[in-house]
Amino acid sequence: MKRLLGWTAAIKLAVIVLAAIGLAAAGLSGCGRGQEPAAGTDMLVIYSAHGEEVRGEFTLAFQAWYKTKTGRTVEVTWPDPGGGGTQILKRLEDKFRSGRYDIDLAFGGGPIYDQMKQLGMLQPYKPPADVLAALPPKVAGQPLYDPDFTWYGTAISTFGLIYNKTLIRDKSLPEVAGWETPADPRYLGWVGLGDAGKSSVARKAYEIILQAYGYERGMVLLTEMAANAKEFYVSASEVPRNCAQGFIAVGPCIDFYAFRQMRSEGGKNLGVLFPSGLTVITPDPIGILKNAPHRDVAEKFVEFVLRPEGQKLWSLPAGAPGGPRKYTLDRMPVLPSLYEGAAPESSAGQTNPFTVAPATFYDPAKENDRQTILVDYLRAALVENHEGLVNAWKALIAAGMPKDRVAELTRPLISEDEMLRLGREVWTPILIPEDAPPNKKADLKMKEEERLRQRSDMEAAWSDQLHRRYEKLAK
Amino acid sequence: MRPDSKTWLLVLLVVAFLGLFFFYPIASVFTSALWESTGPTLHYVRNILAKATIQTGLKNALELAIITTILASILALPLAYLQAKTDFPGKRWLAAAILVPMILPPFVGAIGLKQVLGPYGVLNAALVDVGLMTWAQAVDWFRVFPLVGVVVLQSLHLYPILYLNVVAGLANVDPSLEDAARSVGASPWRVFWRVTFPLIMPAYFAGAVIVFIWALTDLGTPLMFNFREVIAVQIYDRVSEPSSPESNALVVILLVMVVVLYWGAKSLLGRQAFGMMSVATRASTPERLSGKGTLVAWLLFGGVMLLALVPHLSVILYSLKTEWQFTVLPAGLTLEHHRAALAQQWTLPSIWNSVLYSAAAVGINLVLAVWLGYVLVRKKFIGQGLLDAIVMLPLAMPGIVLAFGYLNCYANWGDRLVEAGLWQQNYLYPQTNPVALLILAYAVRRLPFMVRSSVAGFQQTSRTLEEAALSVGASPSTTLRKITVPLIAANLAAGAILVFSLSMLEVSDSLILAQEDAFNPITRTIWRIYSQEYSVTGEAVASALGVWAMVFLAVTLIGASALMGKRLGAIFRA
Repeated sequence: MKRLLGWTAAIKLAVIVLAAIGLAAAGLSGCGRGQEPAAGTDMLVIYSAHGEEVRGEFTLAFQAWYKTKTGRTVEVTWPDPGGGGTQILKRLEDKFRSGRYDIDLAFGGGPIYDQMKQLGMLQPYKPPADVLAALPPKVAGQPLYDPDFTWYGTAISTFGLIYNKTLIRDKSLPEVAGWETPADPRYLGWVGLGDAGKSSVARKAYEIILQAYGYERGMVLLTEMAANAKEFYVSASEVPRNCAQGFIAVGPCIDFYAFRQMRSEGGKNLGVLFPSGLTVITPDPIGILKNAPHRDVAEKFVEFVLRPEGQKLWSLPAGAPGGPRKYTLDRMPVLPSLYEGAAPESSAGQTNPFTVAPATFYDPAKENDRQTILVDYLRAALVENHEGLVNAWKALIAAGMPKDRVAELTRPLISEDEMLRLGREVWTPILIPEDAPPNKKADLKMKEEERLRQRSDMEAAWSDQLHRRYEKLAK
Repeated sequence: MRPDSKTWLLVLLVVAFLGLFFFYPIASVFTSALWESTGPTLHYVRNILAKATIQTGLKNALELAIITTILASILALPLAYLQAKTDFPGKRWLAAAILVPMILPPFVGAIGLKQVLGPYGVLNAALVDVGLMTWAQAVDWFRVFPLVGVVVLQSLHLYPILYLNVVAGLANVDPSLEDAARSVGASPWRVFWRVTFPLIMPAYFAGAVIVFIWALTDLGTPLMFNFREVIAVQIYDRVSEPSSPESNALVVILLVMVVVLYWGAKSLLGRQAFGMMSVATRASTPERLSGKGTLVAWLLFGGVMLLALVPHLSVILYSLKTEWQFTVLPAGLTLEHHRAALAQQWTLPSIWNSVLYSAAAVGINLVLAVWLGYVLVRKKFIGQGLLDAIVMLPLAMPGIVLAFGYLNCYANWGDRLVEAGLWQQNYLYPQTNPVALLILAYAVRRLPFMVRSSVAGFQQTSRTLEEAALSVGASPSTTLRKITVPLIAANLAAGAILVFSLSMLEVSDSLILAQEDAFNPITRTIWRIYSQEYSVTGEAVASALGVWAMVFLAVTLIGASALMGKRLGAIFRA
C-alpha cells in the first residue's frame, strides 16, 4: 500500500515549516520602526522618563530648530525604558554591562544623574558660551547643572503632599499640615505611597523627608507613613489619581502631577501642600551617554533644550507663540528670564524658584551615596514586610501608642553612617569595561558577583529581622 | 514499533522547534538562577524563598487560584449540566451567550470594576440613591474584600473553560450507565453523584487545572488592581533586571510549583480517566424541562450572564463617560475618549501589530499541528505518548516564565549573527526588535490548543477515505491536500480562531517582551495608555481601546463556536 505521506511531501512540509519560522524570525521584523532612515536624515535616540506629551512637543520643536540650524532633518526615537528614573538607571546598567551602546541621551527621570556620572555613563559636554551664561549654577541652593558638565537641569520640580479634602472631611481626619500628617496614626489606611524601587519621584520625596528631619526622625516618619499606607504604587502618578478617586486621602506628590490632577475630574476634591522650609527644589536633568551612537545630534539636542526655544515648551500654555502646540506641560523652566512677567496661571507664574531661600538642610552627596541602598532598605523594611508592619502598628495603636514600643517599631536597622558606607562600597555596581583584558574581566566579574551576593544576603537579613520584629510587636 | 524515517523527520522538527523556543529559554532561566562562575548554587533560591513577601506572594497566588477555581466551578457546573442533560426553549442561544465573558481581557475589566466598587463608584451611588447610605459613609469595597477584584474578574473570565470541558465530558458519558442506575431504583440526585459525576471527573479536572494555573500565574489582572503581592507581579517587577540571579530564582520557583501541580493533577487523574471513561454508545435523550424548570434554567443562565457582563458594561460606559463620580450612571456621554484612543499614534499600528503577530503564530501552529496530528493519530511508534505529553507542556507554562527566558537567552545569539553580517540588526533582542520573539512566544504557548483540535480532526476522520483516494492513484500529497485537510478543516479553523484570539489578547508575554512602543501589541498599548504619567484620562482612553478589543474578539469567538459547536470544549483540555 502506498503511504499517505511520501518523501517529497514530507520534505515539502519541512520546507514550509522552516519558511514559516524563518519568516517569523526575520521577514516580518521589518514592520514597525525597523526601516533605516532616509539619506540626509540624522538620528537621535533618547531614553526618557517623560510622557508622550513631552516627547511629542520636544520632538516637533527640535526638528524645526535643527532644520534651521543645520539644514538637515532629524528623526528622534524614544525607546521605552519601561518606567521612570529608576528603570532608566537599571536598564542602562544592563546595557553598559553587556556593551550595548545604542542610546544617545537620558532625559528626565530626576535624581539619577549624579550616580550615572559616578558609574562613568555620562559624556561631558559644554554648550555654547551664551547658553551656559544664561544658566544660573544653582537654584534654591541646589546645583542646576554638574560642575563637570555631564548633566544639565532642564526643568525644576518641587515635592509636597496631595490630599482629598472631601474624604478628610467625611472621615473626620486631621487637616494636612506637613510631612508629619500622613504619619499620624489617625491616618491608618488612608495614605498612598509610591514604591521607591519603582519611582524615582517617590524615592526623592523620601530622601527629602530623611534630610529635612534628620536620618533618625526621618526614618521614624517614613516607617509610620508606610504603616499608615493603604498600598504602594509603581508609578508616582498613581498617588494623585487614587487620591482623586477617593481610594486614599493623602500622599507625597511631585508638583506638576498634582496640578494636572487638580485640573481634571475629581480635581475639586483635591488640595496640595508644599511644606515650607522642609522641601527642596530640584532640577530634572538631561545627559549625554558615553559611546552615544549619534553624539553630535545629542549635543545639539541638549543645547536646544537649554535655549529659550526649548525652555518655553515647559512654561507656556498650548498654542501660545513659541510654546507647545498641543499640550500644556506645566513645568518650571530653568531660565530665570522666563519667570519675569510670566502669566500667573502658567507654571512659571506661580512661584519663582530662583527667589526661594535655599534649602540649607539638603546635601546631594548623601542622597547620591545611599540612592540604591536606601531603595533596597525601604523595600525590605516597608514594602515587602508591609502586612507585618501594619499589623504591628495596629497593635500599638490599640495599646495606646506606648513610647518604647513605637520607638522599637520605627528604629532603623542600620545607622546613617553605615548606610552611606555600604552604599559606597557594596551597593555601587561594577561596570566591566569592554576593552579590559580577559583576566581582569574575570576578576571584576567575580568581584561583582561577590557584591551581588553580599547585597542579596543583607537584604534577606534585613527582611528577616524586621519580619520578626513586626511579628513580635503585633502580639 | 520503530518509527519510519519520515516520521522521524517530522518528529525531529517538532522537537527542534520546542527545544529551541521552549526548553532552551527555560533552561537558561535555570542556569542564571542556579549557576555562578564558581559552580552551581542554591543561594539565591534560598534567599528569595526566605523572604516573607515572597512567601506571601506564593500564598496569595495559591489562594487566588483556589478561590477562582471554586467560584468558576460554582458558575460552570450547573450550567453545563443543564446544557448537556436537559432541553428547554432558548437553550441554544443561552448556551452561546454564556461564552461571551471570554471576550474581555480581565485586565481591561479591572478599570470597569474599579468604577463599580470604588468609594465614589456605582454600588455606593446606588446605595445612597435608595437611602441605605450617605456619601460620608461611602465604602471602598476593595478595602473590605481585598481579593474581590482579581477573583471576580478571573472567575468570570475563566468559567467558560470549565463549562466547555464539562459539557464535552457529559456528552461522552454513556447514558446506559445512568439508565442502569435508575432502573435499580436510584434517585436522580444519587445517580448524579454516584454515576455521572465520577464519570465526568477527568473532564472537570482537565478544565480545572487550566483555570487553576491560569489564575495562579495571571499578571494583568492583579497588576491593574495594584495587587502586588502575588508571584506573577513580583516577577514582573524584576523584569528590568533579566540577568539578576534573584529574578531568575523567582521564576524557577514559580515554574517548579506549576510543574509539580500539573504533573500531580495529571498523574492522579490520568489513571482514573482510563478506568472510568467509557465512550457513549448512543446519545442521551435530553430531559425536556417543565415550565418551572425552564424558568429556573433561564434564571441561572441569565443570572450568570448578567454577573459576567457587569465588567463589560462598565468598561463600555467608562469609555463613553464625561464625568462619573458619585453617580450610578455617567454624568454625560462623549466619544472623546474613543477619538483620543484612535488619535494616539500607536493605537492603529498596535492593532495591526497584534493581527500580524497572531496571524503568524497561527501560521506556525497550523503547520506544526497538521503535522503532529498526522503523526500522533496515524502512526504508531515508541515514544508517541511522550511526544504527545511534551507538545501539551506549554499549556502549563506561564507566559511570564517563557517571556523571562526569552529575554534572557537569545540576545547574544542575535549579536553574533549581526557581527557575522547576516543580520542588519539584532532580531532576537526585544529592545531592538521583539517581533520574532513575540510571534514565537504566542505560537509556543498556544500550540497545545491547535494540536488538540488537529488531533480531534484526525481521529474523527476515517482513514478509509484517504486509502480510497490512494487506491485510485492519487499521489500522497494530493490525498493530503484534497482529502485529509478539507476533512479536518473545521477543526483546524476553530483551533486557528481560538489561537488567534487568545494571542490577540495575550498580556504577560506582550507586557514583558514588547519594550518599544512601535512594536506594541494591542494589550501593551492599552497598558501604556493606562499607565501614562501625564494623561489623567488614561483610564477612559484605555477602556475605549478595550471596547474595541472586545468587539473584535466577540466576532472571532462567535465564528469559532459556529464552526466547532460542542467540540470547542475538546481543545481546552490539559
